[in-house]
Amino acid sequence: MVAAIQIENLKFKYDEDDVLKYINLHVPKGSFVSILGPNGSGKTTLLKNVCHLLKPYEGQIVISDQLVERFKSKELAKEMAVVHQSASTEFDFNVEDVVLMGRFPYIKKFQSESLEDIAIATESMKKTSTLHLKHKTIKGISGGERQRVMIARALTQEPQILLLDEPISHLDIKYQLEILKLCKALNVENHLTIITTLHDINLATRFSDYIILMNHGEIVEIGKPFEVMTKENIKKVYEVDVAIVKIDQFENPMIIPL
Amino acid sequence: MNFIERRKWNRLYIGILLCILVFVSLFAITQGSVKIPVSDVFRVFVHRLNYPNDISDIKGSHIFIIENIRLPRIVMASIVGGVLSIVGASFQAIFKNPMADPFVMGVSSGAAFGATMGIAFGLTTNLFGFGTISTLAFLGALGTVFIVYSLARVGTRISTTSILLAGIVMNSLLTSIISLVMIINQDDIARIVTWTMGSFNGASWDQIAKIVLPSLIGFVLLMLKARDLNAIVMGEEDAKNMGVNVELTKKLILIYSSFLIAFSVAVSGIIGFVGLIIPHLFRIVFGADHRTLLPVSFFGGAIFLTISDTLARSLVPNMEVPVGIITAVFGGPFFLYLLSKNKKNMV
Repeated sequence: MVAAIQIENLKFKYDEDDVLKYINLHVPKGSFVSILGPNGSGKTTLLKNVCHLLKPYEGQIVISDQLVERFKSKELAKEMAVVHQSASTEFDFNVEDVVLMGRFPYIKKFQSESLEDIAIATESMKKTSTLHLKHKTIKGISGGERQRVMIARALTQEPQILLLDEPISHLDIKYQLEILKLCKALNVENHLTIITTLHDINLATRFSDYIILMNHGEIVEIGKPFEVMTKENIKKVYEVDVAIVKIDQFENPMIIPL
Repeated sequence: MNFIERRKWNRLYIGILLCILVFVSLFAITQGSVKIPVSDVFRVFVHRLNYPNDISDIKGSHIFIIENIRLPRIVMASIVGGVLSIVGASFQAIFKNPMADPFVMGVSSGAAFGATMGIAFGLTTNLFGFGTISTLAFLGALGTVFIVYSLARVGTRISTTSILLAGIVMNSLLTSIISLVMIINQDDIARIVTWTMGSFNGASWDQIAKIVLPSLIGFVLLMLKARDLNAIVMGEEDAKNMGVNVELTKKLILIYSSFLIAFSVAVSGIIGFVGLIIPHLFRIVFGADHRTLLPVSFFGGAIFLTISDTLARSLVPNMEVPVGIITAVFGGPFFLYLLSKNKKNMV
């Protein structure tokens, strides 16, 4: 299978602490991958290494057949977009302005947004159902709406890969579902490769093609949800006993903490 | 209103602000110890544009006041006000802090410190086309930015409390040293006050000629970074992943800002709060997009400082108040208001 992301022997240190220990990973193109693990297991650190915000101590990361450090920052932004945990709202932009910022890597120094750029931004707002918000300010909308706007901005970069860091952690269950369904739709319809860190093991199991289970900076297991989310693995990683229940509605099993 | 329409409107707003600046300036020319009728002002200008109207009935001293005292003063106040304002807007963006301002952060004092050293030690030679005074002012501003920035930075976050404390202490330290140096240099107290609280008393076409080009260059350089600034204020990690070179942009903005501040302070002294008030208010009115915010703030700062300077020279009969006092009277309460509004974010 063609790899969207290929990671080999990735090691990352904060000062002297090994936060990531020899990570090897292959993310197939067009897959939906969730990274799970307890707090401090290195999920976000791994994600930030992939999007080149953090530089590995050892090992290499290949994005679409090219080493991540070889990319010019604008070229990387055309290949991969990232939705981080908390975008600042100190300065109040219109939703449309925020989404249009996603065109940054495409616009040259002395240019400004063309009609085509605006059309692309509009299309992203349609896909994320945020078009009706476009005249509102980023402060004046709800948390769930804001997260959708951030995804719209990421789509406006026209990436092949979308990374999300805890996209649903501050949202209530309605918006959690809404955001993940949106991601799934983008994954299925637009063939976007999606990698997201998540806390909710059930939602992760339900939406992901593959799950990466991490603990203490290492990958415990990687594979299809039912292969990874076993009683034994969950006990090992989260120190919690669970029951695994099959529900007819869903392909993947549900996990109930005991 | 969609993006394209807004862009059109923004051009209109800039035009309107320019008109307001022209009207304010015309009014300002008529004001002062000698009141000159606005019709005379018009006739002198028309005459200067090579129109053969008769101005022989206007007193020569009035023509001199209009052309060589008040007009240069207004032009200089406009340029300095505009510069202080766009630097304030840029600082607020890269520090992601609505309370950042060249005066509050001590950067203006840094520039004044550099300039004072140059004057006190008689370094008036020309260096690379720029005067030594301006060069020293630039180094003073840059040094202060660097010190305040390093003190206020905790990891990648900038603490508002630290930035204000560091700025205030740098400010008071540097103005004290400036005053001390000037006293040792046997300057009189009035001159020290004029310099540390800002004044356009000595404005001349010569001085304007010195600051026009650097100010224009600095403005264009900042404008070229406006889109980067937009991305940065939304979050540095987000900006990096959109292809913005965040660290480089921040450094360049600090250098451009210090450059702009250096030239303004070198001709006018330390004038506070312009860069705090104008960008803040205009961000509410015109939105946060720096491609609009920078130009409107420039004209807003120009209008504000022209009005302040007119008050400074006409408020008390036969005496001139340093313009920094006027801007502080407006800016101080505004600063306190921002402080109370941001209280919960600062603890």
